[in-house]
Amino acid sequence: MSCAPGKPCEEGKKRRIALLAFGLMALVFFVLSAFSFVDSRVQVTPEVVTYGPYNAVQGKRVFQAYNCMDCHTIVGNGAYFAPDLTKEYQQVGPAWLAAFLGSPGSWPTQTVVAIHLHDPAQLKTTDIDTMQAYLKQFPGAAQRIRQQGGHGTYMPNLTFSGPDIGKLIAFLKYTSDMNTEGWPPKPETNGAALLADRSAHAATAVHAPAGAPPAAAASAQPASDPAVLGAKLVQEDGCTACHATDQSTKVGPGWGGLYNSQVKLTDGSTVTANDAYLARSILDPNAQIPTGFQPNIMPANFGSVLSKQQVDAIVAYIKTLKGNK
Amino acid sequence: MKALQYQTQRLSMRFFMLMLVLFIVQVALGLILALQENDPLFLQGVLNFNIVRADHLDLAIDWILCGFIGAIVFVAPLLSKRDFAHPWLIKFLFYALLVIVIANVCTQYLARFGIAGWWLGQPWFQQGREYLEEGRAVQVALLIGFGILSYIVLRIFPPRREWNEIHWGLVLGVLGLTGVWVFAMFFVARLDLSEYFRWYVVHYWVEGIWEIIHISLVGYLIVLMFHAKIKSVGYAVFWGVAMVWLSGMIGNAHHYFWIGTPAFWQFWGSLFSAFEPLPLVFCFWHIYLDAHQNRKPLENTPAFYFLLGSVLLEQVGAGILGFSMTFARTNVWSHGTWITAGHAHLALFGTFGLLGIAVAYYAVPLMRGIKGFDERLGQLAFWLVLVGVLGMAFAFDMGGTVEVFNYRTLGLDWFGGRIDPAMGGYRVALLVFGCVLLIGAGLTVYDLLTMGYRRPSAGLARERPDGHAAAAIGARPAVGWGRYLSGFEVGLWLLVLWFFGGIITVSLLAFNLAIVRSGHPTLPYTLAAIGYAGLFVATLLFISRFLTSMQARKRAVAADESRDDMDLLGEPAA
Amino acid sequence: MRHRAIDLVLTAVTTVAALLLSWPFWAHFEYWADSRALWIVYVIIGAILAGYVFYAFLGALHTLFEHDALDHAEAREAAKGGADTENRS
Ligand code: HEM
Ligand code: HEM
Ligand SMILES: [Fe+2]
Repeated sequence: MSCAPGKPCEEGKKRRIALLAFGLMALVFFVLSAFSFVDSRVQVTPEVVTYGPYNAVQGKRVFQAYNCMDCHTIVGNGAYFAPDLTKEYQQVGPAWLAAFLGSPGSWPTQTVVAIHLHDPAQLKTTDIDTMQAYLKQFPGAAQRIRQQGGHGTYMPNLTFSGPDIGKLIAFLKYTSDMNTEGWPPKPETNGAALLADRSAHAATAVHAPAGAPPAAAASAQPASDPAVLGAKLVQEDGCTACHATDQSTKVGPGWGGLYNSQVKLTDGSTVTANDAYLARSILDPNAQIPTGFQPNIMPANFGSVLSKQQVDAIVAYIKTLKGNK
Repeated sequence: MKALQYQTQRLSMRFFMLMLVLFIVQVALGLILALQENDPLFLQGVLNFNIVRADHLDLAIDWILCGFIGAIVFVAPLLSKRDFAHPWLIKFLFYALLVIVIANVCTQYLARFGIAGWWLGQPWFQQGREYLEEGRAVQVALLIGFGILSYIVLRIFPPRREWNEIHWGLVLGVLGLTGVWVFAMFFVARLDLSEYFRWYVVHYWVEGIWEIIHISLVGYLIVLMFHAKIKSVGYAVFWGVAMVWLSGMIGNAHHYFWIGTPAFWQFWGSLFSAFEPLPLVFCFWHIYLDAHQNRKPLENTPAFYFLLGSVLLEQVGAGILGFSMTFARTNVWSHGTWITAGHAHLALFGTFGLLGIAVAYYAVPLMRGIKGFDERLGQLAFWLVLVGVLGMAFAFDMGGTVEVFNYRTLGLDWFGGRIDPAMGGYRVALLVFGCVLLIGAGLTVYDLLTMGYRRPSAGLARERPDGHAAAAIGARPAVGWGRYLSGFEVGLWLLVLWFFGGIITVSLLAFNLAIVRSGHPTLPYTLAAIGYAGLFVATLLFISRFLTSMQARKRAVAADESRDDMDLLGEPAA
Repeated sequence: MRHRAIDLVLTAVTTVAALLLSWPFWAHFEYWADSRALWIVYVIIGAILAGYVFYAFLGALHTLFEHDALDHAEAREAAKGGADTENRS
């Protein structure tokens, strides 16, 4: 019963119009679909993206075979258990990826990445042969090395073979090159610095801001004692992975008794390790290399994650460390 | 209770039973996932997250399909007024399905070793694409299975000129199921094209063909349960289906915003998927009018509980939550976060899962010839399942909002433990409500599996036969929460639900504001908390209101009857 | 007639709202299929089709309620005519 009594029955007509409208929509949909994949759209295709002897088509097969998509998202689709991989290559670059995928049980340290830097495929693809340039080009790698290097990861060890790794890198290079219309959106603020700043200010506010992770909240210390804050920061930012708090040497110079001592540099000069020297060594470590150490080992971009107050706090902390003379 | 009319309707029983078993397994796997979300090392190396998740997703699809097939096998003889010609074919379909499901669950494990079974350029064992993890072998078998199902339906249905809209709906449903599946079966090298076709299956199934099947089955159940007129139901089915496709055809483009396809899709996808909730609103009114308005007694409460749950969660989970994240300017934030998972659970389980259970509750007592069963267990199970899934959606959605802010706005890195702790509380909440759902699911499955084999409980004896005890409680006219639910009031409830939906949409839009982007989450956090909490609480209240009013009607009828009885005995009416 | 006027106004309002929520603030016009001329075409065709969908929705909803009213009237007639006619429906 589609028509009320006493009214002209228009149901048949209405249904035909609906069908017509649907036909029109299907037409629109398929025409637009055709526009989406024609050459003039200038979207990269996987055949042309290579890494060493491998191309991204092979990479996609490996990506599917390990079902990466049911932990990670790719172009935003997949599982939300692990980070989005669409622009991962652009962030970390091939050497870091090779290092990570080769031993996903733990996060690559700088040394491990440095080894992969000299892989011919890497050199040919990025044209970068120094660690410094690499870390500048791929800030995500610098950040991961600094924060995570040497620690265990949550990614299961999938024991990829060498060729699989090369193929995966080709695939991730392809997705990084894709035009995804601006997704994922670029952050307009440096969140890590912001959180660190906020927690430094948290002395005045009683609570850490909502959403601030506990790790950052933990460093909320009375601003009156920057050295205490500094002690937290050197842990969080991974400084102590390389620097001992006494006079011994781990990777870089130990900090014990360093303040106001005389430091001999590789250029032959001698300087006093005052506030300015320490701050500069944090922000621009390659400017002054003490004898017995190599340049380009310490990440050179702490300036991008540490605020001035934080640098001062770290210096204040280092001042408190006495040598065991 | 009516008796079973056609013997071959009984063939649906096995599909319902398989559905229940797969359901409980699938939910248990969900709980493992929730544990792994809390502790990523849980079962790592033994059963990695991606393998559990692949099975969790595929089994969800499998058991929902099982429910559809059971429902179709149950109603097709009624719609055709005859028995199936080839019962063996249906039995074959069942065993084939069983083998396919088991094979698929097992082959997913090969992803641990990166074995896809490449042959002729195709992955035959498993293919690692979300929702379509099946390998080509299983997919080919499924295609044949869908073909058989289509044949079975077309074979039993009467000649075409006798079809009404429900016949058309079911035929389009089974043919569409088969047709669209073909797009899942190719290895496509380009990621944008491969995702483009993946959504042909995922979107055109759930927001196209499954909705057609849903509308047709719900419509016919209303005819069966409330003797609604098939003509007015048919009208609703036609326009429901028409609107699903008028909005969803181009609406599919809400999946083409960021996969590497051009920007114009952002306009087309936003505009048309904005109308995708219309058929759901429309169908809700049809259920209200056809099931409620006529004041016929409610015969089988659990069946109706789950049916109403299905229709209302379709409104809330699919309609409202889907709407909130369907615009390019909201989706750019929600995309690839837990907010999607909130929608996914409430929409997929809420709409299609609950429908399968509803049909099972309707059909199983009839097939077992049970005269009145203890309905309280089913009612309890319903409320547990409902609270569980709403709570899970809340955890996903709020956790997702926190995730958007930390991950996308602040750009914090995933590892380095910045995102995880921020979402931590919601991960725990997910686990807690997951347990509630698991208990509810366990009760449902227990109730339906053992119904008719258990000893009737003491409570049942009191309440039956003929609802005397119930009449004693319910003889008062329905007032308060149980009073008659007018169309006006339903309209108000829907407005309240959509009001909260609006707040949720604004909470996502707020992420575009300069102040939020510079690192201040207060606005979206507050709006999201109000929006999601309000929406889910209102949903619970509305369902409770609707059901109480239906129950009161049942009591009123029972009271009438018992008054007659008592009159005969010469006693005054209570 | 009044029905239709209300429906048309509602349709206009909803279509405009939907267009605003979908408005291409982000458009960059680089690709020829994303050019300004085509965007104008898109918005016009999109608005017409979207308006149609909403208008058809309202129409169908009206009819749904009309049917219901008719059913009720019938049921009342039947109830007057005798109790058992109802059971046969
Ligand atoms: C019963 C119907 C529906 C079901 C079962 C359903 C199910 C789903 C599922 C499972 C996903 C997740 C896909 C993934 O994991 O990536 C999804 C995504 C989505 N759904 Fe629905 N949905 C339904 C209706 C709707 C409606 C009516 C709308 C719009 C108004 C909608 C809008 C969306 C959007 C925008 C996404 C994309 C999320 C993203 O990838 O960013 N859905 N849906
Ligand atoms: C105890 C009950 C359940 C729990 C604890 C649970 C938990 C989960 C978890 C943790 C995920 C992964 C989210 C991620 O990728 O980070 C997930 C995904 C999913 N589950 Fe469940 N689940 C449950 C029940 C169900 C049910 C009953 C269904 C459907 C019938 C279902 C359908 C899905 C779907 C479609 C996805 C993919 C979501 C997306 O990609 O957006 N789940 N579930
Ligand atoms: Fe969709």
